[in-house]
Amino acid sequence: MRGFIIRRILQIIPVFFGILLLLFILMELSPGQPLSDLQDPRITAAHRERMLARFNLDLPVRQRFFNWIADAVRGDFGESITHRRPVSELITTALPATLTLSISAMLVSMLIGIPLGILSAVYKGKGIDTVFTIFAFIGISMPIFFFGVLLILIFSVNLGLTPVMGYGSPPPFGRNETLMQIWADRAWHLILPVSALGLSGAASYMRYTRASMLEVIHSDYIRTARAKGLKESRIIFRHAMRNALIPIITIMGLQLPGLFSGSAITEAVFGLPGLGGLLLQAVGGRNYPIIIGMMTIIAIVTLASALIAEILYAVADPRIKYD
Amino acid sequence: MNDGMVKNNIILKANKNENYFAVVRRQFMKNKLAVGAFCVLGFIILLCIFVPIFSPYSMQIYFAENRLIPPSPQHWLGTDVIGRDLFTRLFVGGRISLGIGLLVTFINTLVGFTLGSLSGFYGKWVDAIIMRLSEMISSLPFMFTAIVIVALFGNSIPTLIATFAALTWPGITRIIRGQILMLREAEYMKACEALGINHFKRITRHLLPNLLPFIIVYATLNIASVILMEAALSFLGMGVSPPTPTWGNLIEPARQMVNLMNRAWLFIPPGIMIFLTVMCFNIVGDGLRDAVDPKSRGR
Repeated sequence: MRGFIIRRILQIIPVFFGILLLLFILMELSPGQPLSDLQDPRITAAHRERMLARFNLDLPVRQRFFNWIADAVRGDFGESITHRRPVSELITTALPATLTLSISAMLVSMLIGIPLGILSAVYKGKGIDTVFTIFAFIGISMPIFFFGVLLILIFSVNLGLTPVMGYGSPPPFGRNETLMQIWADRAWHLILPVSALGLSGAASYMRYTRASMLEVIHSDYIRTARAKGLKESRIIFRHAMRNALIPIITIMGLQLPGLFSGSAITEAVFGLPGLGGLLLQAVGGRNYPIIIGMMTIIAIVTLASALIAEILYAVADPRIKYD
Repeated sequence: MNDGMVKNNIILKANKNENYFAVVRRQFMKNKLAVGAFCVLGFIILLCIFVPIFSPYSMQIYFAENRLIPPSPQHWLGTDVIGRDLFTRLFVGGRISLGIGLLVTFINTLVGFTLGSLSGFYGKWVDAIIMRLSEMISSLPFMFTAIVIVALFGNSIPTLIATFAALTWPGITRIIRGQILMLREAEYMKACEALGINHFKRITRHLLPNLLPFIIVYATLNIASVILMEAALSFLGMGVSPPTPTWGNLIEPARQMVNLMNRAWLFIPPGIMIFLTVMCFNIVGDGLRDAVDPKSRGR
């Protein structure tokens, strides 16, 4: 087990630096540069030179790559070209919205998808199964942004139940309110985005759970449990479910990049101040420090969570042996 | 003598394949939902081909006096902010969205087959390099990477296709690799080795026919996800840029409050088209999987 973890980490390290190198190469190959006079005609050549030097953008790409790594190890991700603020600060301001949205959406997906998947497998071929399967197809095929727009149209515009967009009520609110009220307000703003992202995700959790459950239900030890005369509910919830849910751990780890993608789109629909918005802002101005900083952090998070999922999988299922 | 045997072998295999595909077709036809989705898909494709040809309106020419007409007998789906007929634009957009989906899938299936079979067939360092590369690509969230690449290299349709293909090949590569790892040990592969058939022929003549069902299933499902990705990117304003319509950028008006509140005809039809098309591809893909893989039936 320890050997497996160490080997995996040794595999992840070149992957991580590969991603980083790829990003630097892409930026080097791309036409155009930051601070070009196309973006702001007032920029003079001398000024531009000075600015490029300030951000070390005049150095050759190889040196920039190693400089960046040396700085990043010390926790310095550079300074944003347009904001004049450290990249780490900008990312930490955008991170809460994205994380709140993605984590709540993931919980919603699992809370809805897994029980429905189990029911679907237990009642395979019956009416319930057909209905849930159709819902799963709808969920997988519905574009998140269109779903979000429809939710806004129904619940905000027509019924007036929820706010149209934003990550909380505008400023006068929040000066005199208690922390509880602010959180309640935030939750109220997040109902629609979390539903949009969570329900789309629920469909795939449902399908994986159903497939995994069906596989387990047909195995010998379940037949043994039935032969012993155990109650059906006990067979399903105590014997089958435990094994059927193990592969879901892997799915959780694997779905993370998709979750971030979905969250970027959802943020755009509902006007949430998250990573997606920051990236869209940054790419317009060729804000290389932000682009690299953000992609690095996302890559670390996804690589780490894939590794954690693999380890958890082995812990949860003693039959899995990684030599 | 040796040649004759090989030829015989291939002819035999060809007959077997035909039978196999007949079985697959029969299985697929049993699945009413999948057959229905297949027909709807055919209908959508026909509309995308013929509506722009027979429409009295051009997708580019606009009349300012016709702007923002709600659906009416002259304009079945109304007109947009500068007076273009949306019914025509919807199906021109469909051509682009479907075209991108098909082309990207073609490219990444080709790349995926090549890399996947190299990886599975040769193993060792070839496998290590290809697998690490695919891990690199798949641990980056698609949306973020696509936004960065498109912003750096421009959002022309060829760039978009290249970007999508570059970011989606790991999926098929892994599937092919896994299948080849399994088939590599099969007896007929040992027979190939004994007969001295070269590697290229072993992969293309003997392994490919066995992988074809998986490739077709994968490709069908992949078209669906590429259409979704392209639509999302265009919706964010980073995909195909107007005036060229796609289903994604036709929904973009929904991002403005005025349109969202009062002009539902602008963005509901393209949304429904994306949803319907993607769902049909998913259902057909699922039906095909059940048809080619008896183990997955009913799952």
